[in-house]
Amino acid sequence: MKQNSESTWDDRTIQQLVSYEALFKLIAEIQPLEDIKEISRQVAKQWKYFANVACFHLVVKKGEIFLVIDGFRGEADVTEVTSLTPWDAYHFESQLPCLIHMEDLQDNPAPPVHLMNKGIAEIEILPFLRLGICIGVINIAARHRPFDELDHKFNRIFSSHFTYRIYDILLRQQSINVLRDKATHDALTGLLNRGAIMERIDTVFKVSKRTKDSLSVILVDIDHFKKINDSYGHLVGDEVLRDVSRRLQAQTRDSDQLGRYGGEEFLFMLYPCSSDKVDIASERFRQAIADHPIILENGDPSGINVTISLGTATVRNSDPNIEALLKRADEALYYSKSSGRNRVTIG
Amino acid sequence: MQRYLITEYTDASPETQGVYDDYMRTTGAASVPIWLKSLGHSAALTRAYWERAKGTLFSGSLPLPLKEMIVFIVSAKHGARYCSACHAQNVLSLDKSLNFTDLQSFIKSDTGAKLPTYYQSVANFVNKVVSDPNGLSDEEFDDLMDEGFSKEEICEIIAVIDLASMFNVYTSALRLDLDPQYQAIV
Repeated sequence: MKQNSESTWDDRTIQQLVSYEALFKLIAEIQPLEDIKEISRQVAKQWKYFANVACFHLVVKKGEIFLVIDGFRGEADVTEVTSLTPWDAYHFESQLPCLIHMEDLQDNPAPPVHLMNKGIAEIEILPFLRLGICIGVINIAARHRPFDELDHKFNRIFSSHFTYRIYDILLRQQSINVLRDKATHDALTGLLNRGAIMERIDTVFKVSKRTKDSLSVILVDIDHFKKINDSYGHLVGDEVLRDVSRRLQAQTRDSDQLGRYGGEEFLFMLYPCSSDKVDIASERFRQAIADHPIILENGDPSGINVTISLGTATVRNSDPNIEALLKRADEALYYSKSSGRNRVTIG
Repeated sequence: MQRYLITEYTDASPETQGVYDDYMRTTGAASVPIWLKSLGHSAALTRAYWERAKGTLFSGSLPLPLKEMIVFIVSAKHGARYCSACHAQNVLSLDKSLNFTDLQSFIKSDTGAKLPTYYQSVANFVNKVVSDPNGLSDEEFDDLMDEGFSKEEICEIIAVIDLASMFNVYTSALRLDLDPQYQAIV
């Protein structure tokens, strides 16, 4: 059988053209995808069709943590880690590409297990930088024989595309999360803002109508808040708001939601929570604020005594929408205020 | 004695013509091959055989050249003259340095050709499935998975083997004559 080891472009065989086609096909297929697991799965399946790659190990920076993608046996595993293995840490630090033949492999540090499967001939390690910072390192394993010239070319082109694609998706997801957070959370207290808490209650209201599980809401208002602002200043007023928010948040279950409803008003959503349970919860919230003064930074060590008034309401069959529910809670809150404050009224 | 009937395009029913058209559209061929024309008397059979071939060879994850190699190996092992000749042409085009006698090495699972390494593993697997499907071991599956093949892809490989076997039986039992473009191979 004739072999031509110094082939020119004219001698490229159909098999090599098939490799080019496979490379471009994979790039085109993953381009519209945003799901990292699906992208990784396609890469794990198709890389072998354009280069002698049996498996790979990719580590990409994701803020303060790392995303690890392991592709082997045609499948991909995607995990997040907070710290790198010695092998990954070494290569992230060195930022140098290298080629390791299996017979030269040291025990320490050891590469990922799947890169040492039987038949692996060598491992190529490629780091990728952005603005001088290493954002990802990929390890690619050759099976049966070392990578040839065409393998190296394809591996470099595709590794770069794959790593930066994953990194850019992560950056975009982080940016979206930050924007979403800003749009739905109150900057001062970190709680859900009015729009967001109302939307949550509306969603759960519709669910509760179907499932018949009870939905309850509690409106909370800080007593004499204007007086606190006038006496101590708005900065202290902000500190009080933050402290009250923290204490109320600490009282919520995972299924409950708490939002900042107005200037000094908060809105709880408790689900599931029946009318007999909501008064127990409300009293717990009241005590969490009333029983312990708020200690200010650089303030009087005895702190400020703060109390809250609460009004509750539980969904009835006759409630057409959440406005009806909130109206009852508001009326109950008004009654708490007019009856002396620092108390709960069941609506 | 010719054991089969040929239904030419002009003599075929509208439904059969529809299948013939789909074949030419999908493969880019200018004419319908003998194996398909030999089914043309029955629109249902024509459609059934073509749909199976189309679904197996022209969809899925495996590259077409790999499937061509699989079909060739199976056909050569079964001594299916028609199918071997059809697919030998496509395998030869994988590497200009290959010649016909080199094809023999595929059947013996020692290609040595300058082809991706996974071809060797697939050739080994195909040979085993054809000779002894009941004796296929987990280790043989593992070898293919270590090459980077997922279970879905291995299922596709077996589907191609099965398709080739089906066509081998059909074409050999009927002793189909070779299409003109494949006669030179033999």
